[in-house]
Amino acid sequence: MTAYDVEPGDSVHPGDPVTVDRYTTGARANHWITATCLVLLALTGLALFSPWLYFITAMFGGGQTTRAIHPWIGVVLFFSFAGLFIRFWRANLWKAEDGTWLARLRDVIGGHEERLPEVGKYNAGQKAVFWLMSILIIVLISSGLVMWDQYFYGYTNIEQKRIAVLVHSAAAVIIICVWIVHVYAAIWVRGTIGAMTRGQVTGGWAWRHHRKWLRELVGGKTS
Amino acid sequence: MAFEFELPNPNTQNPKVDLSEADLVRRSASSVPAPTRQLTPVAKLIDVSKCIGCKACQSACLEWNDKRADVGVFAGSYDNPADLTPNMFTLMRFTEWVNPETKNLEWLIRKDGCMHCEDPGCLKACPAPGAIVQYSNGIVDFVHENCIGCGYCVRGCPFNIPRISQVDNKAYKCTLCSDRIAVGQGPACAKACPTHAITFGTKEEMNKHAAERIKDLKSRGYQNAGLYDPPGVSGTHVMYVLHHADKPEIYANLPNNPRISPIVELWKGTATKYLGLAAMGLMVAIGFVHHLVEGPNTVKREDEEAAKRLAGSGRP
Amino acid sequence: MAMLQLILGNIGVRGGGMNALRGHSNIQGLTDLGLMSNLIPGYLTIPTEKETTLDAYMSTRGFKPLRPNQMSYWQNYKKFMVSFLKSMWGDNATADNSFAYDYLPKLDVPGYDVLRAFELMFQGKMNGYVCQGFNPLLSFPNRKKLTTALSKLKFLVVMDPLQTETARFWQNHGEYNNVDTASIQTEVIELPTTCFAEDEGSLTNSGRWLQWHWAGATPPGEAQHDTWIMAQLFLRLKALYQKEGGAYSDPLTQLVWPYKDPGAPKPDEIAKEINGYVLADVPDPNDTTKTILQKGKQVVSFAALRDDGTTACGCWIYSGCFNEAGNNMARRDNKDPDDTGAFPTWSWSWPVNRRILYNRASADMTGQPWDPTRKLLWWDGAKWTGYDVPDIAPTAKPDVVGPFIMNPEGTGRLFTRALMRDGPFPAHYEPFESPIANPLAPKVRGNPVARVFKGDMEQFGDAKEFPYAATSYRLTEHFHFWTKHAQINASLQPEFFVEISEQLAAEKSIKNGGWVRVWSKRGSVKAKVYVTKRILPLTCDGKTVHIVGIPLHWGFMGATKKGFGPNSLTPYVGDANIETPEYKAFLVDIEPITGPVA
Repeated sequence: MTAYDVEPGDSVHPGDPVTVDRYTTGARANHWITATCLVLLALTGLALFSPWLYFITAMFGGGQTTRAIHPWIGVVLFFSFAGLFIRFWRANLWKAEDGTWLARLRDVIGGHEERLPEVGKYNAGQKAVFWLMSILIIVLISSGLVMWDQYFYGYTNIEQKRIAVLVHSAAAVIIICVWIVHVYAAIWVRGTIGAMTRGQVTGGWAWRHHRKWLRELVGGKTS
Repeated sequence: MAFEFELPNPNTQNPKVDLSEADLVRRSASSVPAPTRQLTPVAKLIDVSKCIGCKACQSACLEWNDKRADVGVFAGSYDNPADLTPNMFTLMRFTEWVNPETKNLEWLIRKDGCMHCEDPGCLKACPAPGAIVQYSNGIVDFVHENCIGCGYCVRGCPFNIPRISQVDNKAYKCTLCSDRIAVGQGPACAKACPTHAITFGTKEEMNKHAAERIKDLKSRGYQNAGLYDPPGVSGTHVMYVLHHADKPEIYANLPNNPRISPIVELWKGTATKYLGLAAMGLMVAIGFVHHLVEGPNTVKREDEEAAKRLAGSGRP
Repeated sequence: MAMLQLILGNIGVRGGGMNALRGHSNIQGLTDLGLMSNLIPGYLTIPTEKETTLDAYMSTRGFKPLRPNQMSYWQNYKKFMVSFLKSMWGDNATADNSFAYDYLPKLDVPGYDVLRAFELMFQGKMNGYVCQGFNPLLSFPNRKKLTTALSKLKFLVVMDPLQTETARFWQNHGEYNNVDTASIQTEVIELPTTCFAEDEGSLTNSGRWLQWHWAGATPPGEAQHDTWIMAQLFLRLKALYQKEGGAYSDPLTQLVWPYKDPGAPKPDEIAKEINGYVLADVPDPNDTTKTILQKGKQVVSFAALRDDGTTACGCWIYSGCFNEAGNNMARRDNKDPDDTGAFPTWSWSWPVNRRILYNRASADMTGQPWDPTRKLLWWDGAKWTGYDVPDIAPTAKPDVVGPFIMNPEGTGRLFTRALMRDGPFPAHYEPFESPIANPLAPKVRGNPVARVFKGDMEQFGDAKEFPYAATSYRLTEHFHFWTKHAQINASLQPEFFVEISEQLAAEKSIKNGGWVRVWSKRGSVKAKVYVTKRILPLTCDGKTVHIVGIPLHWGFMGATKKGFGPNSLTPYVGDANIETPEYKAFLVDIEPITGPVA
């Protein structure tokens, strides 16, 4: 049986405590570049979304600069996220246990992990974040290009431009909400942030939250 | 009066108004106090039936605003440049239309440009505080020092008028010569027009003038002559007298019953704004509350023990 | 048109008339001041070589009334002629030398129009040319012939505010001016002039108003007023003649040159010369001891001119424009009593500020206006009075003196007497290049009395080879070839295009906005094409005739895209009477092309 949700570089090290390599240096760098871009995009975008938040433009050197850099950061984010997508898509494919996990969402929120099925490297929540982000980023980059008058004004008509701006703002609001969920979950589940900073988690963390993944690693499974 | 059908030239002397911030009724992405005085609403009337397409208005506009349009190419019509630009605030659009009733060819020539809507879509869409303003006399003006070049005004406009400059990344459109009106003159285009197809005065005066023109047109067989002052944007301070007011679209796609696009209304609507910000705020709030109620989700001692049993503690 | 208006009774009435609708803002001034090779200012005529004396010249210019009591105002011709000669040669024109009549050039041909001038150049018989305010390379027909003609000159002097194609005829601009510069030996001298906005002076419109204008800007760089350039040339030529002698230099060296600064005549000085002045004190007819006008003072109008050498006047019809009352052309009072549209105190019109010519014709034989709602002039029992200066002697009785005071018979004519070569009635002839034969005279090509130079007949094409009728015209955004140099105008109509009907486009598979080649027997051009509903095929003599419309405003100089003009295609032949070239009707063929390489 292939270990479909073990990623290259994942490995378990016996010890006290057991440590598990979860993210390579490359993956972490890729993630933080993407994260920084997303935060900057959210800030610059929100400044232009509501007059109440326009003051944010001061952080970026004014309204003109805010407007000018936003699409460029978007381009960087697109390619950076593409890197993350290539790394993580296999391990994020939907499995049977994901449906069970979702059905028991109350237990997830209540922290009753013992009532949840064993899951692989990513639980359904993380997979949802992954796929939502993927779709939303595609929507955002597409609508963003249509909005990027400096280079692409001539390719669309005015009606298409109006639709693009509505779609872009709606998608942006949604992706910020998804991001909030993602960040909160990383905070709430202690030990998660370490995965993305040091690249490692403890064996106990893996046993508690991603037991199937741990078993596969111990059993010598590779991706 | 020499000829019975000739109308007197409308008033060319306008009162000095000295427009200032105190005269604003609307300001983009911000609110303004009620203006200290209510100026008489003005209007520019364009009588398409009198226009000969000479482009003196285009020349005057360029000269007054000290701008130049690029020398392009012949692209299959007399429209030059081919579209409005950040420098060319007005444009003659030529349409060869065969009247299905009379079978006559009518060369329809319409002066395109900002309509100075009473309910301006550009201002509604603009995210930059004070980049677009509306005076109590109806003039909608761009304040370039506040413009961030995002192009939202283009999308907000029901007539697709503003254009963003690639040189300074700011939006430009007809100013209704607010600087000339402030000192009691009319717009440059009206002054240059050799047939008085373009006239300027108070909106009331222009409505009266238009009514006379429409009466004249009807007497010459244009049964559907009328005034284009679209209610969908609460009326405009630039109006047209059209020979065929029942089908404005024949005049190079002048929108029939224009209004701010429902897509734009949705995008900029208070509902979307509040909902969007509320949704994000709500997510953060939920997080806070959840953490307070549930506490952190920590790894237990027994989890580490179980892991050691599975993976080995590293000790022989 | 004049015949029609006469028949309809529309001459001399308010809103009527037949005013020549001229093409330039001051072209009326050009002909008024006699700038044609066969004219003297005021529509006097240059003598022919057969008229060897002033008496011989005047023998056919008596214009005595042909019916009793008619004004036949041209009978004063000699007064105008002598006053003109005095204005030119002053004290050197006396009764003893027939007022310097011998100084006038004498025509050996009917006239030296532009077609003749360039024909002479083409034959190598004219070796120098001063081109002032003209762009012949684009405005005269058969450009290939013109380029050859200019290339044969020893020198060409161009006086113009703009860099014209004519000044640069020798410069290669790829296909837009495909010449071999090295083989052209013509020396071209450019003397930059001011443009109208930098000049003070008058402009005469179709209503004969001489509206005075002032300079709005100072000339750039080395540009000088035309009058300065001409005065400078005169002073140098005069000095050279006086030093070196030369063939019959008197007409030049004896010119009166009364300007304060001889090298820079001022517009008001010239205006005063044109108005006319007295050369001796004028006594009061009632008391000869008193003087009513001192020597040197301006005459009030041409009524004061005499044929005895005591008056000088540069242009009799303009006399009155700048008299002792001042510069009447500069008046700006826009009152218009009874809304006649005459504005009698705005500027000054010739003759003597009459606004409507032949205005006595607005009243019937008893002196009452034909149309009481459009009163202009009426007889009050003793004299004519009304809203205009009467164009008749004020006391001329209504039932005696006819309104057409310039004709010896006092009436209007529906025919001419010896003034048209194909007269006495205008006759219709097809142009030399016509898509059909003249249905009224199928064996006649063109006008039988038109002048065609040798070698040009062979360059006429026929309908078999060139099936489409072409015409040239103008657009509102440009004025001839000037405004292509102005950035704003250039942006409003940037590129040369021709216009054809949808039907012709369908026949030749031509797409709107694409490129076409249009060619005639004389040349070929490339252009964009506008396929328009505004042009419809004609049906002439049962045949479908397609039209190719060619606006003329582009060339290889200026701010517009480089282009060609219709005169690369037009034939070298003029109207039988006045030699205006057949710009408006010639034959071409057309085909779609892929367009020149950028």
